[in-house]
Amino acid sequence: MPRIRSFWIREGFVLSGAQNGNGSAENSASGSQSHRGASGGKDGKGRAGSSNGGNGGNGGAAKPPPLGRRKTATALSPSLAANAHAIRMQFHHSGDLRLRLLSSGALPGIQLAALYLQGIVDEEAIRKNVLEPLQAAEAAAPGSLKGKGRLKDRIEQLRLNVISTGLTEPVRTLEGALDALLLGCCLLLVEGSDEAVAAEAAGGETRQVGEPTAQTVIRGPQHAFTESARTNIGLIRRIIRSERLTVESRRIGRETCTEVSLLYMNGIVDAEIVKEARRRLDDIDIDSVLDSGYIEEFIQDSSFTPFPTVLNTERPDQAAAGLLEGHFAVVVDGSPYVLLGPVTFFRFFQSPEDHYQRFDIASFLRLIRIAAFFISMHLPALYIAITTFHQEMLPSNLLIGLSAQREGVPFPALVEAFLMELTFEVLREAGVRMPRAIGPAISIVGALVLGTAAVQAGLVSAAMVIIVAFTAISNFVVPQINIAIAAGLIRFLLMVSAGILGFVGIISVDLFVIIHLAGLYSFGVPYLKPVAPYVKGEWKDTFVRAPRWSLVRRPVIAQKGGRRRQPGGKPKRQNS
Amino acid sequence: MSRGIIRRWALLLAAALLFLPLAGCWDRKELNELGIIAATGIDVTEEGKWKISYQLVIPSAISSQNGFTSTTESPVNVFSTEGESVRGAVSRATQEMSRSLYFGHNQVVVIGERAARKGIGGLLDVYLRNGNSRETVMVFVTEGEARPILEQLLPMERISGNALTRLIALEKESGGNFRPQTVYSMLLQLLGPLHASAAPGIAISGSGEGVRSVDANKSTSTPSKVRLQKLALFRDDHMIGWIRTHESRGLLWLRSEVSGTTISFPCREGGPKVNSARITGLKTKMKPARSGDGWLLQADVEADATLFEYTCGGNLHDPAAVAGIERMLGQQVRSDIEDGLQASQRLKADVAGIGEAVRRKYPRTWKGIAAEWNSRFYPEMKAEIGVHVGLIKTGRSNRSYEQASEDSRERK
Repeated sequence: MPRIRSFWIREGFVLSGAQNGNGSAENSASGSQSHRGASGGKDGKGRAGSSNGGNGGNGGAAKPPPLGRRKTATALSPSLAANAHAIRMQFHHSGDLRLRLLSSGALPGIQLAALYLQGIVDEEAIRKNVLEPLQAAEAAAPGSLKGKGRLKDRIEQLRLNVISTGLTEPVRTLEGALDALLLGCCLLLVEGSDEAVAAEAAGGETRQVGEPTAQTVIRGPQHAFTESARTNIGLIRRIIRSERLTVESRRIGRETCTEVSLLYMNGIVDAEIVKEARRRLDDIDIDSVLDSGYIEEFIQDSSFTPFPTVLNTERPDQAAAGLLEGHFAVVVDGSPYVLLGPVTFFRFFQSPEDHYQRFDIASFLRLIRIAAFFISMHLPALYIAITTFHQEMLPSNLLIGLSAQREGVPFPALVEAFLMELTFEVLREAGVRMPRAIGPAISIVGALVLGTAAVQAGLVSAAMVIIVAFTAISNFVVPQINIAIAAGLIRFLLMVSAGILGFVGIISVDLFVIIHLAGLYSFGVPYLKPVAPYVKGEWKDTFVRAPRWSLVRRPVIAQKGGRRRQPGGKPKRQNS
Repeated sequence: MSRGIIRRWALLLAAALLFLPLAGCWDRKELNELGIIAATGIDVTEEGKWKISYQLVIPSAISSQNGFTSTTESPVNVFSTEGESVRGAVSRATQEMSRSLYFGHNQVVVIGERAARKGIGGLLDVYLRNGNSRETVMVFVTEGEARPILEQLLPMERISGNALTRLIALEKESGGNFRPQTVYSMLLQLLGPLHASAAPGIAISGSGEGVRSVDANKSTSTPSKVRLQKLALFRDDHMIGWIRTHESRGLLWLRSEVSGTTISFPCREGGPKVNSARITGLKTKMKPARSGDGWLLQADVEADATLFEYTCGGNLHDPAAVAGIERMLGQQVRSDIEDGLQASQRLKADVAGIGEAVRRKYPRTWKGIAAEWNSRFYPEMKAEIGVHVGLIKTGRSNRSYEQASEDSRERK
């Protein structure tokens, strides 16, 4: 009988195997890799929580190995009552810790107890796979079970032959028992044995796979990630049915113990980038991970920049496309947003739809998006600069028109623009935060504040309303909301400098931004690639998108030698 | 982020912030602090002071903010200031204007005759020296005072200053009698080798009072209009005289600056000019030559013509008839050119730039005669004008109506 691989990797608390649907050889390789990385990191830093992380082979170790986040390792006692009491004490008699006493025909006269945490386990599965087989074991059990072997061996037999959940594991320490319970296992305590059995039974309510809400497309798949990492990885694998798709899982978060998986395409992704991503993930020491945003802040290259260096997506197809282009993905349990890296600036203007629409339409739309981004950044600043410094630039009739509108407006153009931009930002934030039921109220009020009423009240000029409205609309053309908000931050900077220095101010802020962008990296990839540094082949899919058949090579971030997608060449036609 | 990096950023930020007081928003001007000037008038008073008139745009009277334009409020307001110098007069405007005068959109400067004759050197200096007044403004000269021109309202136009630029641009495109003259090109000519320039004249034509009130636009005809007429010639920095409209056209032909014009011509020499044609694609080659002591101008004019109106006999299928028309057109063009040349020779101002051609061809000789070109050599210059007009289109009919009617009678 093949030995069932351990699902505890002590350092990382990885319930590996459960999520790794991959070939087992590769899987174990990656598992041990991550293990090595983790212990390396610990040796270097000597973090408090995991200072005594030792080698974690579990099968034949006589002494129970200490666990990563636990400072102690207490052996279980042979007494069931003592063990159950200890566990209950550790949970401070929490109400959701369930204990069920039972007996099995396979171990006649020996008291058994099943423990689990209600809500994170599938109780139906426990009943069917653990409780019922144990209770029915007498009749069905093979003769060997009736033998007089040592209790330990008999429990091992039970674990292997009777309990029919996906994964089972012997547990020898109190801390191990706690972890097993917290990860959604059913813990089976046996009277007289200092070894418990953990049977994997994770479950509980999860949301159904739905449609994307933030990153919508007209044409293309309409699946969105959910909060379950297991579902999310499945969604990606259902798109990429290749054994090259590799999933490395680990647990991050001292309290939340959240599963974080690193996904990449073996042979496509640059090994150096994966190594770096793995190192950054392993370095994270944080008490909780509630969303992929927590992870993003730890693995991004530069914190003090408005520009994101990690892309997030709620679309499995976009994640899959990223993986196929040589990016890696980070799936965080509990977050419907998957991280993609490394990303460059121009990547943020690409919508997955660019690749689903015909190339000419996609190219046009992409150019519109880039233009809209710069409009949303510059328009109010340009208006301020032109109307307060460079009136010569306006056609005479427009100047007179604008000047007539400004008659009676009490504030300078800069203040006026600030007022309206802030109003809009408040409205937008209100639109996100407000309870759904009062949505219509916001839109009515918004139309009043940002509309003709404000003009008629003499607060702002009509032109300013148009400028702010167009800026706002342009802002939402960019498919990634985080870079759109970055543009908003820079917009205020530009407005101030335009109000002080006119065009000179706008140009100086722009220069600062360009210099800043040129200095940014994402996992070692220059942020402005392929423009600076110039990469010839990548222009086919940066500002415009060339026809699919001509996109023969993957972007340069992919591994050398793994960049050819397909043989290429224009499809042949019979009748042409 | 280490402390060193924070320090470095803080230093950089502090340095950047130092720029702000340096800049100090000193030329920031909100739109409603501006008094937009659409046209300027330059006059000289009896006492010899400069009198500058401004056509101030009143935006709220022009802008159609509520969907209709106000017709009760005057779209412009004209006022004047006086001073010993041009800018001195302008600076007095602050004493009676609540807004700072903004010349960035001033497109027209009208110079009164007296001011033009006194000399516009000071005015040109103002345009050269100051950034806020543009050298691209168009120059007009008017007999009498400049101020009434600014006060005159044009039908259909809200801002008469802007309308004047459209008027002269259209005249260049279609009329061919005048071309726009900017302060910049005038400077080029006056500071060039010839020291002579010209500016179109503008006048109020028609009987009765000038149209100064918006109420006048309520009737279907206006008693008076602004009209381009005559050309003012300048030598050095002052005006020396007027030449007539068709003479102006002749000079423009010599300079190949007519993009299209319509001329009338007779059926036979000396007859009434009952036919008309449009001249396009005009090209002149000027070849100056020495003749004895003086100079001779040989000019070859090539032009295309389209027949607009034809009342003479003959069938235009016949090449000979076409050649006759071409000859007649050529004569008209030649006489315009000769009239223009004579008029400018009389005033001793080489505004057609013939001296420029001499200078290019005989650079050494030019050095000797340059000083006396306008005063001695140019007025005595002879001219041989060769004109060839090619009739390229006769329109959709070959015969004139008279001819056709005669032919139909014969056929009966």
